[in-house]
Amino acid sequence: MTDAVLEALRSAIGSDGVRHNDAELRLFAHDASNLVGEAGVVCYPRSVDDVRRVIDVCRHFGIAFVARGAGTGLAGGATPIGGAVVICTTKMNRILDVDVSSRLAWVEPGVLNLDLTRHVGRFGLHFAPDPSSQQSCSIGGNVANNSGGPHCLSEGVTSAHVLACDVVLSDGSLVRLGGEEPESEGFDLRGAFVGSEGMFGVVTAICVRLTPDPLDVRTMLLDFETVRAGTDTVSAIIAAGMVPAALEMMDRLCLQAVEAYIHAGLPTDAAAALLVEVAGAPSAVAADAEAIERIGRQHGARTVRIARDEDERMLLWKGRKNAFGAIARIKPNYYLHDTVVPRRHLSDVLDHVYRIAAEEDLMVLNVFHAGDGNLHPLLVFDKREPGVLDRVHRAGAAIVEVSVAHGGVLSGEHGIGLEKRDFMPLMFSEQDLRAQAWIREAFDPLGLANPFKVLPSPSGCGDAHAHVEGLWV
Amino acid sequence: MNPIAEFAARIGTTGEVWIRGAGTRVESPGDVRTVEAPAGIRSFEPDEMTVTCGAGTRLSDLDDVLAERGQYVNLGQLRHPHGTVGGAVATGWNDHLRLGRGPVRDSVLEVHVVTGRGDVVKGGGPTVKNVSGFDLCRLMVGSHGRLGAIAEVTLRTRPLPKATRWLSVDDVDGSRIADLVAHLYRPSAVLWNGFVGWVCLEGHPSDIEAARTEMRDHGFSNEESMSGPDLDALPYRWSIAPRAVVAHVEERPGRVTAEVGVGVVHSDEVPPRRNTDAAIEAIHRRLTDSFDPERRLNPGAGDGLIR
Ligand SMILES: Cc1cc2nc3c(=O)[nH]c(=O)nc-3n(C[C@H](O)[C@H](O)[C@H](O)COP(=O)(O)OP(=O)(O)OC[C@H]3O[C@@H](n4cnc5c(N)ncnc54)[C@H](O)[C@@H]3O)c2cc1C
Ligand SMILES: Cc1cc2nc3c(=O)[nH]c(=O)nc-3n(C[C@H](O)[C@H](O)[C@H](O)COP(=O)(O)OP(=O)(O)OC[C@H]3O[C@@H](n4cnc5c(N)ncnc54)[C@H](O)[C@@H]3O)c2cc1C
Repeated sequence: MTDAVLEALRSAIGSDGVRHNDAELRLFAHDASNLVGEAGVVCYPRSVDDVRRVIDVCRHFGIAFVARGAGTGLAGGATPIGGAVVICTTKMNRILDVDVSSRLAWVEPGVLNLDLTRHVGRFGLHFAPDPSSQQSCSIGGNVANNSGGPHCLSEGVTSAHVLACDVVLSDGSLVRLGGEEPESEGFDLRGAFVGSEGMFGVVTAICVRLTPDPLDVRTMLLDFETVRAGTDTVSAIIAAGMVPAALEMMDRLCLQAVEAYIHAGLPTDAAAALLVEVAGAPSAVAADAEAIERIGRQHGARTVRIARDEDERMLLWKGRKNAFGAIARIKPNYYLHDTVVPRRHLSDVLDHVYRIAAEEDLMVLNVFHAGDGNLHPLLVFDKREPGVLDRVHRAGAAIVEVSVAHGGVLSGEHGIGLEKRDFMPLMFSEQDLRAQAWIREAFDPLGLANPFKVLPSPSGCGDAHAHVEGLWV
Repeated sequence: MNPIAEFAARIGTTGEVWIRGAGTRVESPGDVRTVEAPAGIRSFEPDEMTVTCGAGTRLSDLDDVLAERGQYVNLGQLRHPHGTVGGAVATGWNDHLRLGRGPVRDSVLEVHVVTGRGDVVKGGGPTVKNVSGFDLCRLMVGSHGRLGAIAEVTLRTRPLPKATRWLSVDDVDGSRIADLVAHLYRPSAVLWNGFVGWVCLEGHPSDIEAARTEMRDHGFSNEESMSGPDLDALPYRWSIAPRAVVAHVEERPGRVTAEVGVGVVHSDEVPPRRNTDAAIEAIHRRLTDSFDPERRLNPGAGDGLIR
């Protein structure tokens, strides 16, 4: 980073908002994936005007910028390439407005997901998208990745909860995409922006829909002797006309790891367990819970444990939400995958996942959103072991390929970023990819917003690979 | 040739074309060549809750097939059941159950479109959850076909509610409407004209009965009604922030019916033109320049920003 750029950034937003020490640059060279790039400088804007000023400097010098929320992304979306300017939103973390009767809120992008839900809890409302990382991820990051979570099965992913985005484009203009009003004129630019992984501009304020808390909740744990019995139960529940609030699955290794960690009385000898939650009005909840128990037993559920009170419910959820903490005790490193397959293929694809892991001599645990077919195979390893990363990457590639071959997609919620960029041709033709590039160019004709992500670079255009350590595709 | 390729061949690469749905709303300009999208359901997977069909499929045909398995797809068809899937997606219009059922735009999982250049482009994916690549699906909903002629779509289905009840509530003025809404749990619709409220509740019959009792306990006596209010006499559609609805209706009591919590107001007045922003216009222009550089597709369709 040249002194001239640093000087311009400092005079734009003040020197305390501009960081250039080695420790910080190293920290911001990657997100929660193992994809390491190179940060040129880290800026902490405090307002939309600060964001505009930083982007003006980037444009003036022709340098790329990368928006970053909490850096919990798992696809390298916030990994800067080639010394880009990192625009970190952690100081833009105010809840600007809550309108209880219209059930919406305006927030700055750095507000943490769970902080919003906690803030509006006193009104009997919550923000429905609940990624497992909700304690630490930002709503700006949720919007950029169109994130999901266990309760997105019935409520829909982030896109369904975003009414408007104020965005600073790379040409410095500030635009409002969508609005509080339900039918904006023109194309659905709001919809196009959600999930754009920081490549269309920097979102500086978000209007989200808030969801009323359910009147009643029933949470249950069903366990099975085979994985297939569990996945068949999932399909049968959906086919019976129910969309539970959440429908999550854990396999044996995962149950054992979690049980050792939280002692919730999980069935560690089962091949798989389903955590099912139904929520809504009381009669519907009771009817669905009964039907689910019956369907589970028809499909060979050994036990059906129904949480008796809120404490037991929290305990069951704690097992699900702390799976990652539990896994850290097995091996120091993990690689979390994210693909989606049609529900009816869950069991076949899981068989392949176990086979692939065995072939690469890796340990794999599965804890995932079974209700929407969203697999999360978790490979655990110790990266000090020589050659292990190659095996991890080979296994990952095989898992992605087998998912797509079963009619699935590359990512259900973590995004494409750098991680799966070069897999995009598995799903999309050259023309499909060109059309996606057109959308990006419409928002960012200068190509300064988070370049080299999502779209495989046309041959000969840039050598992004050279700058990214750990890129495996 | 498969139906999508055949549709693309008919659209070709030159000359203006008008994609005709059922023509229930928008008639083609007389002198433009007309092409219809392929019709028919290609696959319906009840346990995946997805259906794939040609854009020329009639909404009523789709509804019939899904209903046999207790499902429906939300395409705003409550008031316009006779259009096509493509027309519903291209216009993106919602019906007045949006409060509970969500907007049409959330129903689309995958699209195949033919761009103005004649290329077939796919966006989205066949599964109920997917974040692979940029969201072409959302961009197509409400695009009036100006970025691409919609050939085929995969849609998210939902279970049909066990029961649907419309209730009318008298003597609801501006001071009581917020109170009424506060005592309802996730209604499918709340419509209000300044005097009367119409509430649509969907779900388990006992929950609906309990909700009616709860309403009465809070002073909102309610009558069952066959359907919601008659909206046909209010031909214009305003889109305002939900928080502005009460003031808007109080200024025009009896002359408008508003979708409370949504912000659509059915009105006897033409809505004002909205301001457009130069940067937003530029995004629209660049999109159309790429997808349909010669402005061949559906010339004249759309609103002020889409051209
Ligand atoms: C343990 C663990 C569990 C997880 N569980 C889930 C889960 O259940 N579901 C799920 O969906 N994800 C999950 N994730 C992934 C991750 O938490 C989400 O993708 C989250 O939304 C990222 O938010 P963030 O603030 O950390 O974003 P970052 O990682 O900082 O950034 C993510 C992307 O968003 C862009 N971005 C960030 N802020 C802005 C902005 N203001 N404007 C424009 N672009 C911006 C970045 O450029 C980048 O491309 C998990 C991650 C971990 C580590
Ligand atoms: C309550 C309500 C009120 C409505 N009021 C209006 C209104 O006032 N004005 C209005 O324009 N719409 C209105 N609509 C929308 C529209 O009438 C319906 O959505 C209907 O489904 C259109 O279907 P159709 O097949 O008859 O389309 P058509 O009337 O034939 O076409 C509608 C538009 O969509 C385009 N189109 C159709 N199929 C395709 C395709 N496959 N690919 C690309 N473009 C396509 C046509 O070119 C045309 O521009 C309303 C909808 C609802 C729910």
